[in-house]
Amino acid sequence: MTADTSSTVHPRRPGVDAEAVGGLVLAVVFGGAFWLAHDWDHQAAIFPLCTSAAGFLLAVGLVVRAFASRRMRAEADTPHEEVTAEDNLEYVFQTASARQWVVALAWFGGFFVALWVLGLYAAALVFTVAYLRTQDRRSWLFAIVYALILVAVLYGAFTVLLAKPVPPGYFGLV
Amino acid sequence: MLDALTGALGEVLTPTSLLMMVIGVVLGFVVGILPGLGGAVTLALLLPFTYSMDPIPAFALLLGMYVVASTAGDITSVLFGVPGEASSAAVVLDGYPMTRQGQAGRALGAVLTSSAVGALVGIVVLILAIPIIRPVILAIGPPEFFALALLGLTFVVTLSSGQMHKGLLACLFGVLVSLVGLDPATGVPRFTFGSLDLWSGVSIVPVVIGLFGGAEVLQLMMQKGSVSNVAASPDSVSGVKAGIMDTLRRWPLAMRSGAIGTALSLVPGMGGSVAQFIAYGHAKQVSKKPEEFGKGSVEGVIASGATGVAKDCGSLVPTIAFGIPGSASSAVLLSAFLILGLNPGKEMLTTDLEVTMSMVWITFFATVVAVGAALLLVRPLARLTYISGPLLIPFLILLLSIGAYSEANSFVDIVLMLVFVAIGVACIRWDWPRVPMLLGFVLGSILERYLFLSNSLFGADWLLRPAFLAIAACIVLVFVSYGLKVRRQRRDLPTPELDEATR
Repeated sequence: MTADTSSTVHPRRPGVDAEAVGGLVLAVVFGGAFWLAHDWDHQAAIFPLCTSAAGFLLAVGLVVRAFASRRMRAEADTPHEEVTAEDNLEYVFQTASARQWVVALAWFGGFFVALWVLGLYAAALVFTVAYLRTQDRRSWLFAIVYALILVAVLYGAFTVLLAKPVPPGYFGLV
Repeated sequence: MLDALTGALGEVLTPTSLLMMVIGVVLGFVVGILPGLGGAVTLALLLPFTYSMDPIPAFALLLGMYVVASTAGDITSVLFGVPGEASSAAVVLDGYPMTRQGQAGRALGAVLTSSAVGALVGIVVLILAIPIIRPVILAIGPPEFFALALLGLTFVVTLSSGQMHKGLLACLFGVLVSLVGLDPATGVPRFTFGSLDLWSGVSIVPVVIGLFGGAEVLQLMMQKGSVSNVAASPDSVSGVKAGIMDTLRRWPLAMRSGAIGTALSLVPGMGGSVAQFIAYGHAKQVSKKPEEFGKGSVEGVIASGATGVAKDCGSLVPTIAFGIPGSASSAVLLSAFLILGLNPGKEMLTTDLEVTMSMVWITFFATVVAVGAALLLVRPLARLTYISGPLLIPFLILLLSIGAYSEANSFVDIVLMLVFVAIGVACIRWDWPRVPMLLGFVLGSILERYLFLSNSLFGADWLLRPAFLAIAACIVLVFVSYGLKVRRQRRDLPTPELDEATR
């Protein structure tokens, strides 16, 4: 099963708002860091103060530039940049539907919640069976056997051979 | 010295030493491929086994494992975009896009060969440096180390893909993240928000895995295709020979990158995480096709791969010559010296020179065996990238979690990894460069440490030291040449094409 690699061209959204929002977020982060750092001992504070001050100024500069370029772009009415399927990672994230985002994030987040609650091996077992059943339409038998093999390999490598601790889960199940 | 070199060869080729080296190489492969199991941790786990050994078999085991872990770490970086070792992070940038274009075999061939070329450079430097390095290193002080770190930071210019403003901001954000934790000089908790878990700072492993690996897994979840976008065919799975030839044709780049890896690792505290990005930035700077970097440039793969073993050789020099470990792994190796009754410094360069030279041979043989074995395994390894995405997702998501958790056995690292997954995805989604952030992160604490030392030791006079001024001049030159390049392109090209041209 491979992805569509056609060179369909899709318009990329104008980057101006993203720049302005990114700049604003970073201005808040750097501003907050500066505010926190100014209370510390001089020696501990000097480097964070310089870094956050420089970051704050650059972030404000980016916001100003983003708004200025939006006005210029509106006047010139130049076409937006385009992104093709060849720029794969960007392409997938920029063209994914809201449903695709919700489903992917729910599974991704769901695994880490299960990890926190159940511990590594139980979470691996539950997640693998559920994911393969619902997202890949595999049979129960295949999903369970695959999950068991995966957990056995992990258990053999990390717990038996290397004696490394793995996330234990809220109830200490491991 | 030649006598010591030949004597050491005889010692390394004894059955016990060879057996220990093979065990080390196998362990190194496992450690390198599994994310989160760093070389330093495994070296520490192996230390008790060396108590009753002679020095050379003991180093065959330890060094055999250590140098192979770097090479093997590149394999998962190329195949799945999840770095096996923190020092393999830069290989992801171009190795993984090559895999997605169906060129996993070529990327692996290139990265493994460049790793071997880099190792050769490192070995030669190790042999030549041992007798002469002492006066050189002692002449360099904290101001010069600070300037070198600052010079490293200037590679933001080339690593920002034509988005200097965003690149600088991302870099400063990385510096800020590196400051989280207790201030080493005063003990003041900084940016810890009352959490004791953050007192020891943010480790590089969850940052790297989150920024690069997490986004790839999310993408596979949305796309549900295989890692490689090209249908499996004998041609696309092979290409190993092409990768090897790519490196051999670009041997000057591989050698220069190996030299960068070795040279930067000579400086205690710089470490391999820095060297790989500096080598990558250099390759982009001198490339005729810089626009291909980050999209599957074989030059990017060669440059970052060549620093792998080279940096291990470099970090051995200050460890052997002064007892100053260049990295966490060298610190564990240093304790092995002491356990085995060896005193770093003059003795290692005179009475124990044969043991020192045996390390050169062990590094050489371990690299040859590891690269040879890995090249033989490339075909089956590359086929993994054609497995259906949903089948791989449980495996990859588990690697992400174990990788992040294993560094400090803390769930907080998993949470940090998730934060950096979000940052990485946002960067890709809204076109912000990720690499400068990582560069700022690895260099931030180094910059602060040497700035503090420079001020404490020399007041403001350190700003006038000749070596510092020379490096500062190089930094100015980098920015001036970038400014001139942009100006020239602005003059030659119409505005809409400018952004693309500077990438």
